[in-house]
Amino acid sequence: MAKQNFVGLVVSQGKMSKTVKVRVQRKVYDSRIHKELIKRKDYLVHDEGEICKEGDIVRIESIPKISSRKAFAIAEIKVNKGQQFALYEELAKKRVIEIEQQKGVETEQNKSNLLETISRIEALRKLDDVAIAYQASNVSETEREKLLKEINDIKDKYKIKSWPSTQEILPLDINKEEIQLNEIEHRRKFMTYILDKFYEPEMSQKREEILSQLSTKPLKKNIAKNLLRKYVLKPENEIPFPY
Amino acid sequence: MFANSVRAFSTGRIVLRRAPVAPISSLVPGHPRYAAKLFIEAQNPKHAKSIRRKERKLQRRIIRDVNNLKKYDETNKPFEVDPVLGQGGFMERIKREVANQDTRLAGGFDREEFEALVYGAEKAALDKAKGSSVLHEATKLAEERKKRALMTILHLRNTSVADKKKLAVKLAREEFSRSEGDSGSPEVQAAVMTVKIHFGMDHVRANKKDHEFTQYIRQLVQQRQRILKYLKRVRPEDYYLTIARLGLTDDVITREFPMGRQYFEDYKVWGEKKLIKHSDKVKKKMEQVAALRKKVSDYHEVAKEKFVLYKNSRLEKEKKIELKKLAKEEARLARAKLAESSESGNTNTST
Repeated sequence: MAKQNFVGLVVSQGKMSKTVKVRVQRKVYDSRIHKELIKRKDYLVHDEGEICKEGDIVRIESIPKISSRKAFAIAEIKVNKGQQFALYEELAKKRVIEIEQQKGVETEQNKSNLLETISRIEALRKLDDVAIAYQASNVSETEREKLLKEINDIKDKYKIKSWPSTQEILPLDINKEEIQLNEIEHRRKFMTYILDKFYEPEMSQKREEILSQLSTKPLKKNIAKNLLRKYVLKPENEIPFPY
Repeated sequence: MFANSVRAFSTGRIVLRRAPVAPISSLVPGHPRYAAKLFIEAQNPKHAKSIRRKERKLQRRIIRDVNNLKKYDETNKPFEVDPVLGQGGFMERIKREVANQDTRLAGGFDREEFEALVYGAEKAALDKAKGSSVLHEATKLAEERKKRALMTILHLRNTSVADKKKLAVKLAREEFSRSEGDSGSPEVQAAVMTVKIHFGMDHVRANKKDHEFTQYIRQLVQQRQRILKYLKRVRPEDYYLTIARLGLTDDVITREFPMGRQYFEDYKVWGEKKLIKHSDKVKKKMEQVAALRKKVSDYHEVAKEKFVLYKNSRLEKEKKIELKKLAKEEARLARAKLAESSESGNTNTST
């Protein structure tokens, strides 16, 4: 005769050595109400390797009785949900340490960015002062040279071409959107040129690279072109040639 | 430990030949040390049988006590971390960030952006006042004053708690969002609730009688539990990552938790004060558990002592066996030497 077999859920583990509690459900027909009811029974089951975790679905098999309440042993683990959860928990702990480190680096970066901006503003203020001093009438020739040198030093350090300048010297968040919008407009204007350029033979490799990023499947000609157009219209994407 | 205690009591035969562990006067019947006394008196062979019966009884009682305590501890397990505030997690960093006066300003303004904008305004004003040096200086001074006034208005020191909370919620939302603009995923909701709970608990700590607000926090804690339970059901991997980031543990989410007086007392929210007056029944029960715990710890102690004695006796036995072996070996060597010398003597005489 085949050994008695049940499939059940591990509901308690780690409280008794080498023993888990397995809940087995079965349907029983109630003749009074003519309906199938669910009946539960908990078994204490032998788990020699102590591999089961709470939440696993296991098959249990009858064995010769080994203690007053234990007459079953784990035969196989059908769904190792509990073990997976334990694994996730472990992985999460490692991941949290990584995230915290990353956040620490980011805050440091923010701080250094701020310091850099402040020092840049200080330099610009100084540049103003020096420029005014340079233009004043009662300055000797040697002093003037000194001031000129100072001006040039600051200009070189922060890569300023002219002063007062039309270029953007301090990047502002409120300007960012406008710049992006301009970029989009510009690209839209030259769209046919950009797409033609992309379909030239020397750009084929670059084009394939971009398309493989956008889609894993092989694409039809028209769909590929449309995707490329969308790619071009995103201002954060760089175009590998001047237009 | 438990296994040791039983073994130590059952190997009482060793103790028979030894001095008692404690003076007899301190041994009260019913105390586990009574067992030792029994063993000592067992030198009278007349009582040997009844004593052995008593010993077995004692063993059974020990097993029962230890198991009862184990069961009690299993059903009355404390939470691994604070079920409301958790331990560690991202809130510490967020609180630091919200109080960070160097890089942050009130109203969600960025210090870097602020500096750049103020400089731009100053530059524009100076350009307008070009020509006279006096006008230049005056404009500069005015702009400096403006900047200082703005700094005072926007300084984090001069903001309300609500403003700080808003900033903290924003940071939490950005940190936990799955993609940009996500404000409704369970992770984000749980993180935002955690921020609210942490800020709310500061208020609860300061305002003990604000029962309405305490109830609000209680509801938030339950809501967080509910949404994280849902996350566990649908995306278990994300669930474990989220609770680890929030500084919570699985049992805090899955077990029942009423944020009642017991919690406020246990986690000393309002200091050391006792908040719950136990009924006589509960007091009695607690006393019983304490007594049981004491008893079991006594068992462990006795078992430890017995185990040391047992180990020593084993060592002594081994030593004796070793000595015997050595003596045998020596005797054998001596015999061999004797035989050799006599043999060489024989050969000498023959030559």
